[in-house]
Amino acid sequence: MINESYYPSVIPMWNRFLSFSSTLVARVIGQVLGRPIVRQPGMLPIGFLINFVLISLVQVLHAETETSTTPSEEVLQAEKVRIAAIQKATRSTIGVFGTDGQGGGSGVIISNDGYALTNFHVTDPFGDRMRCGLSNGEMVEAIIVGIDPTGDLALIKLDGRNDFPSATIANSDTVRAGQWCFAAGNPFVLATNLQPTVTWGIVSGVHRYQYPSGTILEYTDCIQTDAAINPGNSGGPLYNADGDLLGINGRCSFEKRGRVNVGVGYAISINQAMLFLGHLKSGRLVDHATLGFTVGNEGGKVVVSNILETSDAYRRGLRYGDQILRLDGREILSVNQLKNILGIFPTHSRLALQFRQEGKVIDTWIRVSPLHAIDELAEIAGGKSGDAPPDHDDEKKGDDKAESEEKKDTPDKLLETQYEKRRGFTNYHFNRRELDRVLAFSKRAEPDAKVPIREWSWTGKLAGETTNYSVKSRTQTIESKLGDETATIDQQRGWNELIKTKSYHAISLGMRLWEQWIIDGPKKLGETTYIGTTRIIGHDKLVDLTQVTIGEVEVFFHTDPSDGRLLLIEIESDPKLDRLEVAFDRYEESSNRDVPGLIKAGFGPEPRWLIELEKPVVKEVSSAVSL
Amino acid sequence: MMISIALSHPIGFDLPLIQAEQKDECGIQHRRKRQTYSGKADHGVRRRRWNSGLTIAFLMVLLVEFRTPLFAAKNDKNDSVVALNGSLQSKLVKIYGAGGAKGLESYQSGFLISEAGHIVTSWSTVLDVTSLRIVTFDGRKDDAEMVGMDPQTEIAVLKMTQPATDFFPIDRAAAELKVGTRVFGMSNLFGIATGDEALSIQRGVIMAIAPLSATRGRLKTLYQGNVLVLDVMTNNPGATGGAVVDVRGNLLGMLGKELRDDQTNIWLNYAIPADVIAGSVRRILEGKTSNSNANPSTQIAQRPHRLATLGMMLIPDVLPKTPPYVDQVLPQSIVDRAGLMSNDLVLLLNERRIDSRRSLEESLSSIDQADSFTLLVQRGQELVRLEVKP
Amino acid sequence: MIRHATPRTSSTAILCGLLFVFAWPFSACVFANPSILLQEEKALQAAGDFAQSSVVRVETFGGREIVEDSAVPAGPSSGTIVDSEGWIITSLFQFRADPPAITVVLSNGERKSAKLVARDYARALALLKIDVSEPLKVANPSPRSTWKTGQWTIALGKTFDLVVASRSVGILSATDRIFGRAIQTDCKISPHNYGGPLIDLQGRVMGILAPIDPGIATEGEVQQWYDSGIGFAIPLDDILVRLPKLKNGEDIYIGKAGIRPKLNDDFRGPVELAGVAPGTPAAKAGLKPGDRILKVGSIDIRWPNHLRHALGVVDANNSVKITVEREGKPIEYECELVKELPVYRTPFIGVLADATYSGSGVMVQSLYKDGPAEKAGVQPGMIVQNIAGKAITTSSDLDRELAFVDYREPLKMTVVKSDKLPEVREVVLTTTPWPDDWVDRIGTKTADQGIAPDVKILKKIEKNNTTGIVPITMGDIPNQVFAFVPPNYTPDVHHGLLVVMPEPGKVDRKQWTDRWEVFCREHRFIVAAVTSADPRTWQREELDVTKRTVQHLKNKYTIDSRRMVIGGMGAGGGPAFVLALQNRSLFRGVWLAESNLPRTLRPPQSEPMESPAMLLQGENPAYPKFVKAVKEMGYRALAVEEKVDLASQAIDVKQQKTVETFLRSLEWF
Repeated sequence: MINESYYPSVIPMWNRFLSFSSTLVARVIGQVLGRPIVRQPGMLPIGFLINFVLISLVQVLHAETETSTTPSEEVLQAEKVRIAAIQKATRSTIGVFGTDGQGGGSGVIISNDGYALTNFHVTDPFGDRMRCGLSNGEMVEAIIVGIDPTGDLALIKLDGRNDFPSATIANSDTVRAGQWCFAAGNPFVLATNLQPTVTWGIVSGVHRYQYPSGTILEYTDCIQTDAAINPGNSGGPLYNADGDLLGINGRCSFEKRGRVNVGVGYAISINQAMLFLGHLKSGRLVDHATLGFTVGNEGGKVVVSNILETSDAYRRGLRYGDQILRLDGREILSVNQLKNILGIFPTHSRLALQFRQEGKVIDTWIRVSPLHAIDELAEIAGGKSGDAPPDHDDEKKGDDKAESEEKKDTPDKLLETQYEKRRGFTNYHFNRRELDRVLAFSKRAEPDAKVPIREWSWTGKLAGETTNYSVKSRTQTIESKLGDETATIDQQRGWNELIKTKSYHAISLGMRLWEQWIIDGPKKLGETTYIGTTRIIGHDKLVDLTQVTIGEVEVFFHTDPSDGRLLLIEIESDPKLDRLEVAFDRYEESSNRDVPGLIKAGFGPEPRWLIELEKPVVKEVSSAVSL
Repeated sequence: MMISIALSHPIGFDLPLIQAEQKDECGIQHRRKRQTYSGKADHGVRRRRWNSGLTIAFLMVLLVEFRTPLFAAKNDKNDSVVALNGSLQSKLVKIYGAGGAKGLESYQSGFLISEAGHIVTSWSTVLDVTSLRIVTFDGRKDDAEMVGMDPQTEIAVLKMTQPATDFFPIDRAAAELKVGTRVFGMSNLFGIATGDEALSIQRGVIMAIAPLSATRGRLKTLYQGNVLVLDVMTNNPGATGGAVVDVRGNLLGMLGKELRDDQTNIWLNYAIPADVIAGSVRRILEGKTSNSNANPSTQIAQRPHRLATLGMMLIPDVLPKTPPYVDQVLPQSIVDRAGLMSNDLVLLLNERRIDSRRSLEESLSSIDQADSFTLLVQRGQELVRLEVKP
Repeated sequence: MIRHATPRTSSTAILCGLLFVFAWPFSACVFANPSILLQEEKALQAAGDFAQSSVVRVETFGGREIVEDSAVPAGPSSGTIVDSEGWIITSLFQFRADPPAITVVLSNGERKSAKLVARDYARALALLKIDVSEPLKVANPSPRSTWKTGQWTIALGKTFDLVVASRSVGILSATDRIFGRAIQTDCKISPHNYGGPLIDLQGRVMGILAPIDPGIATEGEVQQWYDSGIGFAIPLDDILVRLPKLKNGEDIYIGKAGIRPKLNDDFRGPVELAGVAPGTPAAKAGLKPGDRILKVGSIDIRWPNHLRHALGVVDANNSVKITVEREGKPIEYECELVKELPVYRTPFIGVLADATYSGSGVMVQSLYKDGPAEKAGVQPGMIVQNIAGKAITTSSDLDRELAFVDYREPLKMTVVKSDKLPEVREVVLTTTPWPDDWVDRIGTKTADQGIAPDVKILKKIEKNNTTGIVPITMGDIPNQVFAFVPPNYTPDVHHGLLVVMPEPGKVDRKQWTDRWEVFCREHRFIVAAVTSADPRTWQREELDVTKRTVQHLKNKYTIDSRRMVIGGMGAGGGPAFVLALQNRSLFRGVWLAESNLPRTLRPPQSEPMESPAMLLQGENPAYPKFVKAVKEMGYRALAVEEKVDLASQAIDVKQQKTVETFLRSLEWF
């Protein structure tokens, strides 16, 4: 109290006297007037006047006292609407913590059985296990499912309930700059009672591209908002005014003020998240895609500046100097836009490409290829590739009794029951889950477990032609016949050749695989992995994709998530070559089994052979006869 | 990565799908513009319809307005800003110029003010280059040159080679400014909107209307007049020169620089009001801008007052901020006649806040010995105002 | 429109004429634009206009500019009138600089000299008083029951204009923050409106804006969050109930109970008490270590954050009912919270135990001159059997029981003359904290055998013969780790353990051995060194390596838990210090040599069994100030200004003596 010393001792007393006397005066006046004088500001803003009029009016009508203003019904209504939207939305907002209750980001529940989205950079430090705080104050255990290190997404699963409140998913492609939105989450980990923080704002921009920052977290086609996003909001939801989920907040433009919001936050669009959801559910290290060519900007045109001859784009005829017009139906006018569109698709996607070559416009489909080698990804994912040994440390035993005891009960149970390490996966347990879901359908066709050996024979003819086609599959061989040309294909060997030579007998492989998928399920054939969901030509819905390694070829089974029907089988002998594609259509009931009435087969996006099929003849042969 | 960052081009051209749709909106706006004034758009149209209504109807409505929502407003609330944004983007530009060196951005924002392609922005090192690159909201590229700048307001006017498709008419009487008015800040802050991307829009209200110097502490800028202080984090790198508009799309001001209160390290978000812009633009276009950046508050008097000549002795200056307590008053001195007493604490000099011995001496140095001034001192708990006449 | 109106025409016909007059001029404004945006704009402006006359400008003049190394704002701020007779609530943050003058400027421009009457430290608010000639318009409270996350909020300030308050419009972000003391808004909150009101759409005051410290480990300082969309307001009704107290000039503080949960996990229960420091409200109320807290008042406590929320709204000098579960049954205690928990200091009785004695109790080997024990007439050879009613069979009993004794109160101690001819005697000690001069006085006598082993432990330990320099390998870590185990080591004798994190770079093992051999042999110590993986610097992750080393040695050798010390030299000191504070129950001492202290790290209050002694050795000018600070927090700390040459990884003889004395002081009770 340096200043004190400068006060002469008399002054305090002087003060007391003064203040006393003046309060006395004040009191007296107060008495005389009887009631407090309310001082109105000298200059009344117009708004005040209007309101004054309105209020006085209301007073006449409803005899209200002037203890508050009275906003119009619609204004109050609008406020109510917002409060309701926030109430609805925040039920699905969660705080994401480490198993020790420390640290923290945000997340959002997207299904009643507890799948929740957050940022990869939120779950990364927590490893395989985390805990989530629901907005109602509950704390639940959660486990990692899948991660997308490039796109900064992570899927986790909350444990213990099947009635979690989940968010309504909006269509983020329709969002426009200027629309109202709000963010919910746990900025600065203030939610000591797990009640989320809600901040209101508008969409400041759409289809924004944010370069990879330091790590490889790249934000493509993202949503920019001025709703306050701060450290801790990461992974949390951005909702539209109706309380539907627009995106996952993950980045901000910070600058002069350290990591404090300066009016610019970015959310990963929910549509991108939905395109990746199937892949994340597969429990794999999810990768982004590359087109196999680079582009530059020449005089306002986005043109191919470099292209790999091994790329699918090249096979589809794209060449150096061609102008890219559209990708996935969206017009391309800048390199960033191309990146924006590419960035929202996982690998294993096939995108519609429109380009101009020597004046003529060409429409085609191109397959994307993985952006990273799996080990690259694993490294980015901080050894969460599965091959690293679980870092349980015997030295730590008997360290802090209380702690270790606590750690035992709930968390480890979850690790035991819902976690499985495997190379290339974040949590293989969930790949099993998805496989079981996809294969459940094919089992439905064949209730009894023991499967007798069968001989299938299909007959049909090329659509609109007289050329006959037939295929007979024995246990060891497949007999394929088109017109009067016959081929006997071995059950295991020689497939590569058929694909490489683009022989139409390869179609019969498709037929054979169709049978095996239906009868035995793919696991007998070879290493089977659920990849995720993807789009195939002629289907607007996402379909399930399952990859099976059969000897020397990779086979991709595309099935309808709703009824499990096989829609498309692709066989790849060499990534540098076109796959054989056999699409199955016109399903009909035949001896309590759905069978296709039409197949479209070929190499590349356009089918080369359309074959109308009769119902197959299935002959049972006793196991003795075969072999 | 096949598509490497190196390949990406900061500036694109032509029209993207999304923006193309907005352009249609703009098209509509233009047509409106020809019927009514620009900016006012649909509301302008409505107004006339309303005014032609029956007075009695007004009164009825006024009555029922409380109870029954007349104007179903849900979607309006969600989309009116979208429409607003769409209708204004074509009046805004991204400006690319000098900089890059020592961490300075090489970009900022601006808006069109004439059919001829005049652009208003704020003077900065970015403009310190012979030819400036202008990029419209939809990626169209053009060059522009400096027409001039007004040192008082640090407002600069550029002109691009092509005529403007749309612009803010600044000569028209500016919209009424009121604290609490809803505003939208539109700029290319952080240079987020690359190439053909639309500029960013942020929402807030006018927090206050006040001269910059009246805010906490002193700020480093020449402009001392009124600004619109905003409650939205607009003033970021690249935002300066951006437009601030109201709900109807009227231009209210231009986003200022990144200013920070050097005493409290608080960053301000503010805009220079439209009428000030109009004045500066007029001066610039008439070539009447004076380069004297006279600033009364920092003027130094020829023969200034000094503590000694006034006859007041303060307690010794021992702290970074020694409170200006009067230690002694020389009998018969100027301040003695004014009634200053020892132990008085000086609070204000000519209404300027004095919070240390140093700031008192500073303020005195700007007053000529011949001139009188007023002091507000604290004597005990009492505040005393003194007229000091030489 | 007419259709809307007709049902009402009868009731309204009369008003039409009157209305006409009012409405005509404004009709344009009211109807020109039906957009809800403009209606809201008007409503929000009206709300602000309605409340603004209760908002004032608060200015401070002069005062210290720097407080606690942070620049104190000097500009004006805002305040809110809460009583017509000139009582104004404002934010505390302006007054950290003890300004010699405060003025308040009213809406009418009148400038008044203000007195700072009282501070509410729990809510970061201050109450000002000005003299008024006529009653002022008082802020009108908004009923708490109406508050909902997402509703409109407006933050008002008066720094720009005296009549028209500055506004920031936002929503209510959360209704329960900072352990029940605040509500949260995304309005832009800054020194401009600190002290001003946060109002609702109806112009009623919800709370007073203040940069209140969230009281949790989070990012950055709350002052730096201004305008970030994260702002806090103190509910007005919480202030009004405290107004009488504040008017009396009584400051208000957060109530502290001194309850320390065992787990440092804010979201995991049950809340089991770790230790109950003597003299704390918890101890006075009768809570015991191991109690499980079930309820505070009527609030169920499932994990520590529930407890913090339950106590967060209770001021110092108020009582709460705490229900705990002990041995299966619930017990209710009345606990009066205090503003400052008594600083815990390890009691000192000035006794050095005889390590060779293996009978029941603790045999006094020597006494600290004029120490409490000696003053009370305790003599060498006597055996301590009971203190404060607790039986003492081993030295670790004494260690534990003594830790929970309040040094401020007399201590009953039962001693017997010798185990042969028992003659029980009750003595009463006036215990003290550790004397400051221990460094000059300890070490004349020593417990040269170390402390006798606890039989139970003996069984567990397999014989271990590796002595001398023992390299320690823990597989997956690159760090060089080795320990010097004295040749006379036997697992049946407890050994002290010193683990040193030296200056990064090569460590000469031979040199180490030479330095420490004699001491280690005489005083039964094991000295280990953990070298940094990177020869240039220490990584934070390497704290774990050191901790594992300690655990490893603890499992491998017979270690005396009372003499576990972590040391750090040069750059190794920072991490060592952090580790010591993270594991206060593990380390009894921490020694730094010429190390910079991690600035960010503030030691927690000293607690029973968690109060490591500190020796700071070297010419670092920051040491004395730091030692003073930690002493105030209850730690035994000493700064010795003597040059330590870090180049020679070990230290020379003179400095070595200081360290040895420090290590040996740990043997004393």
